[in-house]
This record gives sequence, C-alpha cells and structure tokens, in this order.
Amino acid sequence: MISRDEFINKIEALPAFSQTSIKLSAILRKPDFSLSEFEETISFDPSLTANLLRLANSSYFGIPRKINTIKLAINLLGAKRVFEAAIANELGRILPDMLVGYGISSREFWKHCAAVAIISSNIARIHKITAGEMIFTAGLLHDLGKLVVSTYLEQNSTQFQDLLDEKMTEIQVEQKILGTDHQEIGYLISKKWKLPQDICEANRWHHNPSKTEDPGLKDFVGIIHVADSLAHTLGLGTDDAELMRSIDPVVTEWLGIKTPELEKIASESLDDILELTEIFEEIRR
Amino acid sequence: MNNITVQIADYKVSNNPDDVLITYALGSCIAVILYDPVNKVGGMIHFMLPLSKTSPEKADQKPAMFADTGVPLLFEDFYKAGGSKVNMTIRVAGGGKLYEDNGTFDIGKRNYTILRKMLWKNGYAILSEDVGDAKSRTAKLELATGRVTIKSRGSEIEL
Ligand SMILES: [Fe+2]
Ligand SMILES: [Fe+2]
Repeated sequence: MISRDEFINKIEALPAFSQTSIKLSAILRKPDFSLSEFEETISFDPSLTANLLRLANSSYFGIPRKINTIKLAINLLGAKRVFEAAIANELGRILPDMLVGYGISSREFWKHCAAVAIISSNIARIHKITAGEMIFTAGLLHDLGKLVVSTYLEQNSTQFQDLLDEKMTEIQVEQKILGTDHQEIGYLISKKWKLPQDICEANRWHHNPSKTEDPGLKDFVGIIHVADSLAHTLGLGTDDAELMRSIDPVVTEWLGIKTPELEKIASESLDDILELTEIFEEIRR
Repeated sequence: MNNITVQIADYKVSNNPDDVLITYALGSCIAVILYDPVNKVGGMIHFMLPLSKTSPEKADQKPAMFADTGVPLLFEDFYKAGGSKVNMTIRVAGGGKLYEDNGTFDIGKRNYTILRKMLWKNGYAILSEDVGDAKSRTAKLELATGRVTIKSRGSEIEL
C-alpha cells in the first residue's frame, strides 16, 4: 500500500494551478463585485488572455462577431462564463497525454469533465439551486484525484482489472489497492490549490454525496453526483472503471429526479458537450 | 482500409468494401449494425435515447439521437445504398448500465426495450447481440467481410 506521504509528494509535484483563475473565483464571489478588477486580473496574465480570446471565438460560445479584447469577451459572454473558460483552459493545460491507469486518453477525460460541467449546470438551472454558481467549474474539476491516482493504478494494473472483474466498484478497488481513492486525493489537491470550498467538497464526495457534512452543500454535491453518473451512463468519456459505481440512493429522492428528466437533460446537453470537447485541441495547441 | 467514425447521435451507411464503420464508448447508448453480405452494404447507428418525444426539437436537428426517429433512417439509407432486406443481418451492441443504478439511470434497458419492439413490429429479427452489464463498448463493422467485433476493457469478441 502507498503511504500517505508518498501521495502528498505526488500532489506537490503536480503542475501548479494558475493563481489567476483562483483570484478570479474570489473576485466573482465578492459582494461588491467589480468588473474592472476582474478584467484587470486577467490582463495581468498574458498567456491566459491569449487563450481566453481564442476560446471566446470558438463555436462553443457561438458569438458571431470577432472578440479581440477581454473587455469585449466579458461584455458579450459575462464574467461568469469568462471565468469558466479560464478554468477550462487551466484544466486542459495540466492534463497528461494519457491517464494510463484508467485506460483513458486526456481527450476522453476532458470530454467527461465537460459533460459533468454542462449536465450539472443544466440540472442546477432546472432545480433552481441558487448556490449553484460554481457548479460548472466543480463539474470540470470533480475528478482531479485521478490525475495522481492513475499512476498508481498503472503500477497495479493487473490487480485493478481483476478486482473490477470481481464486481467491485471503482472506489472500492482504489481503496483496496491504495488505501485511499480519487475522491480523497482530489480533495487534497483542491485544498492545496486553494479552490473554493464547494469545489473541494465535490471532489471529496461526488461518489457518495450523502456523506457531505455541510448541509448547505448537499444539493450541490448531489447534482455533481447525478451529472457524473449520467455522463458515464451515456458513455461520455467513460474510463475502464467508472461504470462500476453505485447511485447514492438518497440523492435522486432529494432532488426528485426521475428517468424521463434525465433523458431530457441528456438530449439537451449533448450538443454543448460535443462543442466544449472540441475546445480541447484549441487549449493544447 | 478506411475508418469511418459514427459519432454519438449519428449514423453512417456505406457500400465501399474498403470502409470500416466504427463507434466508440457505447454506454447505455445502442449501436444497430446492418450488413448485406451479397451486395456488401453496411450501416451503423449510435443512438442515445429511446423516444423522440423527450425533445422533438432535438429530434428535428439530430434524428439519430433517438431510436424511434433514427433507426428508420438507418434502414432507409441502407436500402438506398443497395442493401437488400432478404440478405440483411441485424446486430445490436451497447445498452450498458451502471453497476448499481437504483433503476433511475437505466436508460440502456429502455433503449433496448424500445428497439426490440420497433424491430419486432416490422418483422425484423436480431442475429446476434452483446448488450447490458456495466460495460462500455466499441463496435466495428468491416464492409469487405461483414465481420463485426465488440471491444470492452481490452477484450474483443466477434458478434
Ligand atoms: Fe469520480
Ligand atoms: Fe467522474
């Protein structure tokens, strides 16, 4: 079994998450939110600025005119979507080419994160979850732990595949081989990067949202769980193990979600998911 | 050989023996694979959901998203490309599920049920299939030989 210290070292060795995007999330949440402070913060980061302009002109955002300044991007898309693009850019940038342990390419992993981001925002909108402003971002970043755990599963790949064949869930298999799972490691990563608390919690409990301690975040993490499960059901970026999972039974009750609603959300999310997936090549260029 | 990818919510038909139709990551989605060994015509759809009434607007834009609007188009184009009903074989793959889905998430089963009903109503029989279970599959049809293979987590079977 791998020691805790070794995991911590591995987390330390991850590429750093851009401080600009973390600053942006704090600015967005200030009660006296200032557009000019938001814009200025981006413009201090020239590579982010260049990437954001490329993304703002992609078909995902669907703006017919040319966007050539951050100010214009904020005007046309709104600060929240510009922030989401900044996070997407950041995630796309730090992914390794392949998550070998999970048998998935970075592009497929990206597709999965895009799917969870879009599906969870659609669920939050329909269910009028007011605390859902960070939900798209939390969806993008919910599986951060896999970036570190993948390496260890790769080293134990025979055992990993055997245990899956024995019908253990992904989380159980990770616990058995590593003594931890990608939720716990994801939590540590998001803490280290000083991501907002709701995103840390989504990393921590997205396979078991009823364990979320903060009652104010139960719906939030519950939605990520539903979106994650739906994305995998549909095969949107599914890795070797993710179908081996359980639905937290209380969640569908809390949210009152039934099959026809899931199907409707799936049908209405697909185009956006495919377009956001295409952005990956733009980011990796 | 010429690989043609069938995207989710799309279908492709071919009568070129150099072509290989391939679709990836069928979770609960279903691939219906048609083949005429005499005329060497093949077709494949990767539909996502059972019924277009879920979103009539999407069904207009992307009929192959749904079984009821997509599968008839697949058959139509298959015949147009020179496939004949007498020689045709039908294979089905996908309809997978989460390990424990508490029923709510079992879209795969609904997809399969509706598909079977549609085929049965029109007098079509399924030759072979690989459906259900907590599996994500990749399906492939070689136009030259009619060989259909299904891959899941490293292991491959012939259908
Ligand atoms: Fe996960
Ligand atoms: Fe996930």
